[in-house]
Amino acid sequence: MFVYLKKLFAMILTVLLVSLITFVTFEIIPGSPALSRLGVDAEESQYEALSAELGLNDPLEIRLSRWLKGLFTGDLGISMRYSVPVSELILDRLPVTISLAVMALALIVLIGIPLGIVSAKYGERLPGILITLISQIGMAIPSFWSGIILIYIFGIVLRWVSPGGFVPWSEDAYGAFKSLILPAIAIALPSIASIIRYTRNSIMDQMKSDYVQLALSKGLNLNSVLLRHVLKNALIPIITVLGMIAANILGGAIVIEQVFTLPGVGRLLINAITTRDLPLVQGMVLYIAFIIVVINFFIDVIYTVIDPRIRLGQRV
Amino acid sequence: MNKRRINLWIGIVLISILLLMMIVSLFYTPFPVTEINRLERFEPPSMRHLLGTDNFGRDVLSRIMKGSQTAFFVGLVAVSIGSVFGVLIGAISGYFGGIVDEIIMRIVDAMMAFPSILLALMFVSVFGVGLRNTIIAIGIMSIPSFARITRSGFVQHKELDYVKNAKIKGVSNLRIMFRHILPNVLSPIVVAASMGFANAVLAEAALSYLGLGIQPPNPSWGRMLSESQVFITVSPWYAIAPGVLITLLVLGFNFLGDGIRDIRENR
Amino acid sequence: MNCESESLLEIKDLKIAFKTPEGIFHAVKGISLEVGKREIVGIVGESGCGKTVTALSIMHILPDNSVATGSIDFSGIDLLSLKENETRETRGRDISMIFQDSLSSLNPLMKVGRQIEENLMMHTSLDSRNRFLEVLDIMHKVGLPDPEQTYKKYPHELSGGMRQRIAIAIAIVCNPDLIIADEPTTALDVTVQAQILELLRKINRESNSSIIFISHNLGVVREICSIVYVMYAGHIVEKGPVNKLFTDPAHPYTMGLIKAIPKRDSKGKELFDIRGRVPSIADSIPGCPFEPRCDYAVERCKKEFPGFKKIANDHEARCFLAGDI
Repeated sequence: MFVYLKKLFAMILTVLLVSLITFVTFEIIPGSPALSRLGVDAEESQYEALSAELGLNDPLEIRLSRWLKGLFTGDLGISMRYSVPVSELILDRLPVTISLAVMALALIVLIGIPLGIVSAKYGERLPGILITLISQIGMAIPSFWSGIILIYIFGIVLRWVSPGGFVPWSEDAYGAFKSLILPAIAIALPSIASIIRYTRNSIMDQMKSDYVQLALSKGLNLNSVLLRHVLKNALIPIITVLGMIAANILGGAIVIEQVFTLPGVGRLLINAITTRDLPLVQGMVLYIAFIIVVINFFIDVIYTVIDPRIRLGQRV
Repeated sequence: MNKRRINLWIGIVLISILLLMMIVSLFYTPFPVTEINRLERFEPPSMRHLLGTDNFGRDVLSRIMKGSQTAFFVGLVAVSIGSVFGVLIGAISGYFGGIVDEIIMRIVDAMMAFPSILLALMFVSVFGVGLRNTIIAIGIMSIPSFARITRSGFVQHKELDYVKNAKIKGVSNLRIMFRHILPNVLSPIVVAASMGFANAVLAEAALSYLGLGIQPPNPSWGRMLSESQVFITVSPWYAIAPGVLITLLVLGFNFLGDGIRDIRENR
Repeated sequence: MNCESESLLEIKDLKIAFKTPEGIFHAVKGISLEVGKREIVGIVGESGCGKTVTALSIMHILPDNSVATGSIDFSGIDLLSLKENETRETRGRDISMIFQDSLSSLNPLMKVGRQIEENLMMHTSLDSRNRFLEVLDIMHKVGLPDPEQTYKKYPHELSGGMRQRIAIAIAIVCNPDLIIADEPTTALDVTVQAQILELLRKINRESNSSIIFISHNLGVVREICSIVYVMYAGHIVEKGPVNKLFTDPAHPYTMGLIKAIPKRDSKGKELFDIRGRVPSIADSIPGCPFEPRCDYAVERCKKEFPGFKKIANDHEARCFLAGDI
């Protein structure tokens, strides 16, 4: 239990650190947010009024403490472009991105790991080499390009899905699935490719272990050795990779939401950047940081569940 | 040909072909890259325009060739930035250890947990778009991986006898770090540089696709893809060539990296 | 034929080669050996001499890139002529194996009790309750304290000696005719080593299992085996009853191994070491493979590798000078 508390503490510390960094980063940006909101034609009095309203004239430490306080109350400031609280905007867009991420993760795990196992089983024989080669190519294909190709094939040529737009789950679950499946595939492809490689290498490493020989010497066949003994051991290094995969999915979502014009967090972020809506950018970076820290916390928890050797707190 | 060298050779061949195309494009392209021809918009591939034309009637092949300059340039400079700073940080962290190491590695780990595209986006949102900032952003985002790899090499080697001997002889720390240890830990860094090049190409393409990277009139494969998407119903072939080129270049450097690692591991 | 010398395992002209990208390596170059029922037979040699590979070939679990020829006759069946899946029934039930390093040979993520039980799952039709009881019984038999608690432990939670007892429990739970023990005591300290040897002797006595005991340490082999085969560079160079081998070694290599046994009074003295190194399995030598390291070598040894020379009825060695040194 103590271990979890320690990890929890480290997690909070990281989020605080990130928030501090984002605060400082956006502090050094030239140009006042008030000015960019009003435009250069605004009158001096308007500018002063808005600066005061936004609290831009307060001293640094007051603004910092307000920012940190906002962090705990969930108040991340107000978007300049939309004039709505940043957290409201983000929470509004979050369901799309989370659905997308979960679907992509499901594809990665359900397709990538089994293919990795198959590829490892065949080792250096043709099917193994072939899967490795395809995954090598898969890692090199930019996701936004495969996204465009998918839109063209399934949206324009075959007309199976209507490209662009998103139907909320509550309205039409099948429609929502249909609008998300292609972008999820586009996000998942490079990660499927890399998890195939990791799974294959991890299993092939484990196959050299002594415990595999012992299991074979008991009379188990190769498939049962793989499933009963090797797989769980091989999964441990793959769980480490899952943290990286999570980052890949989020990064992929930022780009792919743009390709498929999905109203998610990624698209909001790109809009915020192009319109220089800095409070919004700041808030979103923090949000994404928070999500990543939480994911990594859960990965640590999964570790301790799967590997009895680290229940005492240290990794072997 | 040795079977173990196959990755290396595929990498070298792919990169050489693209490098050749890049060099040719410095002196010759079939058409002027920015020549707008309203009469030849959205032409499919033909003998005159091998890869067709775009929405302004510009020759796609010429723009692809010119785009390779951007890809190589961004990759090269970004990897240089990333490797120089990454190696420096990693060397200090690994060689001296202690609290400095602890802090640096915490930051590096945190940066690596983030989607790298997000870091680059944050950078351009603060400092603005364009070629220079794209390169710096991609360079910065590749620092952590170089730092981590260099550090692990230094941590291993600083305990070895040749380093201890050098210390006893009174060789300065700086000299031990960069004249004694660095050459011995170089090969994983070279592998990382190759993979880093591939990642830089992908990142540049993604940023440019989003409109936050290379700005017109500079040609970029990523930008061409975003243009092609607008007109995909009119001229779907336009979306093929830039994507294939990005894939081939990334593939080349990934194979090269794997190939160098294969040789290192089997030596 | 009397009951005592009835043969259980008979290996004839076994050759094992590995295909690698660098070429073909011959790990075992035509060995023959025999294990009688209830016998404990030792195979001795330095690491890399092919003893472990021989063991794996009896188990039929050699890696994919290997080829084994010759014959391995186990109670009337030639194991080598069978396919891998045809020997699965035999494996673990009739022949079982104990590996050197119990930490790496046990699955780190599986409770040790389950790892013993797995063998019963493969080869018996017992239900899970009876399997559990059987496992507790066998754990008690191999001297593990508090079986019910130990059942739930993971390998890293046990001591080296206890882990090796688990490995032995896995090997004997199905009452095999033959147990192959590959350096079972090497990773253990001396007191635990003695306990494990005693346990193996007890198993041999009580369950009538034959044991092939593989070791690089002739001293340990002397304590447990009746017949010893000395292996060098893929060949058997001497075989005989353990006492004759010790009192009257015929091959210079065996002499070296005997000298290399650390003695109780040798504290402070330098340990004897056979000069030179084991030839790599990649080297092929026309003459005696031990010639470069041999103190007695003559010119003839460089060109020819002699066959077995009989010294006594059951004692032979592959050396021109056997019996004369």
